Amino acid sequence: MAILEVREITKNFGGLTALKDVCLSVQEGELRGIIGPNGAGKTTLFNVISGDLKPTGGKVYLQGEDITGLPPHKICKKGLGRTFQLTMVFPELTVYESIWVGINSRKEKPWDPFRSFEKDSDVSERAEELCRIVGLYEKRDELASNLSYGDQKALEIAMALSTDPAVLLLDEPTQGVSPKEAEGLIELIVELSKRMTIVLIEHSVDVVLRLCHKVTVLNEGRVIAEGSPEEISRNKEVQRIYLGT
Amino acid sequence: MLFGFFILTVLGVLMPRGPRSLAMQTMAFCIFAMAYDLCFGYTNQCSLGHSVFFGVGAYGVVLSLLHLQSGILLGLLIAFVAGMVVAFLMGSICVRLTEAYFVIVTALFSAIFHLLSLDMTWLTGGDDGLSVTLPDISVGGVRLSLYDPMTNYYFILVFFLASYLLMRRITEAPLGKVFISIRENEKRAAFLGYDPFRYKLAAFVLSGAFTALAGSIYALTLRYATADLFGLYWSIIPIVWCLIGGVGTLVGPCIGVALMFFFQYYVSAWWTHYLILFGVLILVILRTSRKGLLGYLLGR
Repeated sequence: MAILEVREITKNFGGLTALKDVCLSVQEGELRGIIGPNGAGKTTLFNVISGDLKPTGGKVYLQGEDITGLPPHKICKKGLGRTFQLTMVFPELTVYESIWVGINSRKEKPWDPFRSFEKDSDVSERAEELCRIVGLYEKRDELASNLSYGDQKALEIAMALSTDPAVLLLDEPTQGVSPKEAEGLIELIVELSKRMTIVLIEHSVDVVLRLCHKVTVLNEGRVIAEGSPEEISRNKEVQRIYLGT
Repeated sequence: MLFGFFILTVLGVLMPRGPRSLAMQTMAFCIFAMAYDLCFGYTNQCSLGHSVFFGVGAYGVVLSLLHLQSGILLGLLIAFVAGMVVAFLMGSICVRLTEAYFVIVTALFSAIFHLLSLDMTWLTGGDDGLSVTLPDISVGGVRLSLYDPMTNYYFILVFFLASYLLMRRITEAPLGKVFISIRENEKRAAFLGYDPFRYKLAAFVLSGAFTALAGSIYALTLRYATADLFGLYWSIIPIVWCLIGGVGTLVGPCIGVALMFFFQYYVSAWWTHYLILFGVLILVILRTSRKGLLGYLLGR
């Protein structure tokens, strides 16, 4: 059974159709890539899956459960984590605190005033571990707003991981990042994909074709192709969109 | 900050009458300022409705004393709980709203409560207010009278210290971090599994309860409550305290209160239009540091 199943999702903004009958079925452990030209509806699809937008029609299932139209905080609790194309960090929290807040939300009483911030060892150990995984251990006491853009992207991923998701949605994790930092982030994604299901939106087609098990191509709100990287790179329709021939 | 409390403890004995009664009011307002900071500084909700809680607290204790003969400690508890309940009801409506809408609707609540309290003279005494005689407090067989200035001073100091420690505990606990994360980026906090509405409401209710406590202690020092306590002035003044001293720090707003009092009672002695100076000072402080005096000092 698919861990993430999107069935005939349609999203209209007024008269504009951003998504039309989009279907997506992601198996457990898969690294799925989503590509498509600007305005194809990639981020809108993520927004619908993660609860930021309510779909006009269609259903979303996570681990067999209907999560269509639930608010983001509930969908997060069901095991979905996501990052954002334009980084959304907590500017005045440190790296460590930002990750800590995410882990804390999984606690039975995340608001308990008698639990200390410092002394909760299972939370703090996990937070330090996540700092290490994304390579921000040395910078864990820096304010998020003082990080470089690439490091903020890494922090984004760490924050998404902090809620211990079954499925991770990454929205252009290497966009606007220096080539060297991008290489580090790609290695991180490959490493993570061994342990969890990842859906990756990427602008760079090369990266997606190199990393992903399976690729979905969106154009003008529709799925126009889906298959292995080899199939996609041979697909005439995809070539036409990307090369304009 | 704890050093500050130590100084206040020693000063209680040393201070002459005048400054001491001033210090008592300052402490009551410090509780108000910290409570407001919980809402404004920690969850970025700029409420213009806190006079409601201040007035509810003041009338909570005065009416309990007059009609229930409840004794002072129970009266304060009633005021605290009343503040909590009113904040919950008001917050259930207001907290859903964002930014300007939140500000306007909270201001409307403040106006409604003010008009009602002016109108319902049978309950509130309207503009003239209600005076109250303070009964003795008996704690563990010892009887204390708040008419003794020294006792009154330490009574308020104890509540000031307790409020500070409680709010410090809340803001340093996980809850405080969640508040800050919602302030910093509400959407992101939601995607980390927190319901922003619920946590903002929690901050609003805690803030309302402590504001009511401040109101009730203020009413005890005045020995009366009046409809004026619901006035818009009491909704705006905590914003001023927080902005001067530094939002989101708890201690900063107390500095704001102290500075305001300094102007109100000492600078006004040689120039009656001291508020102009104060206004200029606010502008200068905010121009230099967006996070007020304390933010400036900590940032260096």
